[in-house]
Amino acid sequence: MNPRKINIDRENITAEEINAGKDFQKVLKGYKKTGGFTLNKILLITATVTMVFVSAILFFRKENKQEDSKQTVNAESPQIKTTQKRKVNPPVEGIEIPFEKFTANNASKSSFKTKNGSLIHIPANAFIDNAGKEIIGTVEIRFREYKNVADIVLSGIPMEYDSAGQSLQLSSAGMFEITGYQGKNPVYIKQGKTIEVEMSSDKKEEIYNAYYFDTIDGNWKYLEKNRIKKSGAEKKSITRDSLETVTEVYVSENPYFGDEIKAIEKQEPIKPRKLNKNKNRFKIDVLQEEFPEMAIFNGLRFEVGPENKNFTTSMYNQEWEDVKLENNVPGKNYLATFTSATQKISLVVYPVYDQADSAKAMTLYQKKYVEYENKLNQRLRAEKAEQEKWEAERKKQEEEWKKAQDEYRIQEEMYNTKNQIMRVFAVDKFGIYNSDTPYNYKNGIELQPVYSINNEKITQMIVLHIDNNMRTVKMLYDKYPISFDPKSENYLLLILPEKMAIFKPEDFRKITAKKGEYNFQMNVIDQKFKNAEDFKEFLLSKK
Amino acid sequence: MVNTAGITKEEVSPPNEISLIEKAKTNPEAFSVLYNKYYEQIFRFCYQRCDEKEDAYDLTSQVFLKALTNLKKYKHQGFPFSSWLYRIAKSEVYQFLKDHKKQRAINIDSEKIKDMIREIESGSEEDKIPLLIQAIAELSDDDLNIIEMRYFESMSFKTIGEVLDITENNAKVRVYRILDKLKKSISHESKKN
Repeated sequence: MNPRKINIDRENITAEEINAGKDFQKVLKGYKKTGGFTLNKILLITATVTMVFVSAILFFRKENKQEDSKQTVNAESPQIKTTQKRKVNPPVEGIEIPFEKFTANNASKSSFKTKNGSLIHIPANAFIDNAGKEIIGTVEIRFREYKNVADIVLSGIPMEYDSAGQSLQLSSAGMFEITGYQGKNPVYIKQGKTIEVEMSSDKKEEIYNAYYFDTIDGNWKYLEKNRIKKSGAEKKSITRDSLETVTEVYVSENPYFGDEIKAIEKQEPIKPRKLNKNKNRFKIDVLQEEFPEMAIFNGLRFEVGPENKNFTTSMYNQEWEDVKLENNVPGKNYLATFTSATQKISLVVYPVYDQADSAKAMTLYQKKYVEYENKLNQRLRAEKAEQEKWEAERKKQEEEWKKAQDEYRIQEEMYNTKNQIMRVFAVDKFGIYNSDTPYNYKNGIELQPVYSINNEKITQMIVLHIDNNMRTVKMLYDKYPISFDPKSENYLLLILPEKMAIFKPEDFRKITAKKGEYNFQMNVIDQKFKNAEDFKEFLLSKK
Repeated sequence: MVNTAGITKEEVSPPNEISLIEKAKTNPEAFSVLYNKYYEQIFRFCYQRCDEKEDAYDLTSQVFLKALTNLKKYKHQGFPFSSWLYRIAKSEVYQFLKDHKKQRAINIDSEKIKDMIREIESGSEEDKIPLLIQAIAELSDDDLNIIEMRYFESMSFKTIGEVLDITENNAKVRVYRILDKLKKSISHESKKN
């Protein structure tokens, strides 16, 4: 960030100076030069042409599948070249889902349960080394699961699936990765042996298939219709509504933001100064019975300030029906307003005293000042006490809200664990497995995106479109259109070398455009993520 | 009032601003009424954030040009037109300073900074003013804008909310949090010294 330049009490600019810069004709000329609404039409046409052009390229590529299969889509080169070969590319450096580790003795069968409730059943003599020799001793099985969109984002596993020349998005019921090592050396599953993995899943539908990610081809391979085992646990209904009570943390307004203090300060008495014989000044004679509030100004004179351009001494000898004296610039001067039947004059005046009256003037001033200070301090104390009270209430609400959220989360986990189903995979080689269904979303909005951060257009980046309801994560490339279901919980995650930015579901809900170009104003994510849990909390928390 | 394009004199009363905006969407010359009405406000907003008058003049012109160009997209949503202009101004200031590689200026009135220190330190702790100024200078762009709007430009929470497109309550909360931040910064620096 450039250092900022601080100016203290810079010279005021007058309204006249400001208005001297007005030039509406210049603005109108500029508007006509841009073409006004014509430019918007040109932009729309350009966007449409670009979309048609991109569609033409993709169509052409589909028809020439064989030639293109050698090219690689690298997530760091956002310009799309081909949809064929993909690779696993975790986008957030240093943050990945950690592996769970289990030790299996190759000589006997073993079973393990993961923290998510998945089961791994390993038959005896399942493993061989690089040379094809049977492993002797123990093997470390490494296993990690991807259960939600945050996990999928961090995994960097591509979720597009090519089938019959079409590129489809995979909607996931859960994924896992399994590998095996003996020391530092990878081990392999012997031909004819399979590890049975029962992956816990919260998706109960029977529409999902089992896939394996072929890292050589860079594509998902369909294995079979996903077999399901029910956990058999009793279904327990949890009342969720009662847990979602505190949605608004700051439910009460804090009225104490100093407005009353400001009002009191405006009444700060003005210290009179010794009069300047060369300046116009006057004394106000009033009938005290009629103007008791003016009694305190007896003996004081008022010097006419240089701000008054229209003052003439003719007003000295006039009789006025009413006079009001109020603070103008607090602590500096008053505004004296004189009214008669035919005239009303306001003057900025400064209280001054004659040498002979100096003691009286200062005594009066000091008395008024003490009263003012007492009033101010009293108010300050009261406000501080109220502010502390408000802060305590706010903190209490925050804690209640957090407690409610924690309870809800625990209940949710319990509910999911007790009612989950197990999706069964026959693992005959280590790697990444997925329970998915191809998702080709039909009715929704398609926009041609322009991405910007703080109004600066961004072009070279990775963009992920996340649909949390369908559990899809789609990698978009620069100028790739965005199709989304407005009823879903959509996110856009923009990944740049030094930072990330997000477009949240609440931002999606504000989109009224149904087609054409749209400027997605991304919000930079300030938070630094320590681990996968941090990132998951950020993305999926309902705060 | 007769605009400089020589269009026939029209009387415009404030409650008819919405219909004036609608008219200006198809007749750009009619925008001059809004231009004249809000020029000084927007200039002051820009000038608060710039070091030089000339930059503020250019920026103000740019804000109104942008407003006119995008006027067709403007929909009355229950808050004043000026709030929309302030939003554009906020964005244009940022872009202008960036494009021209100029320093962001923070223009501080000593009376207003005294108000702030009283609010933060609940008392007259004017010896902490330099620390407060330093802390303000270190705020993020967004936080700085909020502080300027509230304390240097005396905007109400409602207006701040409209400019930032957040609720009035949220605007209050954000101000409160920034003051908290400033207070902690002053306290920290005080201890160091």
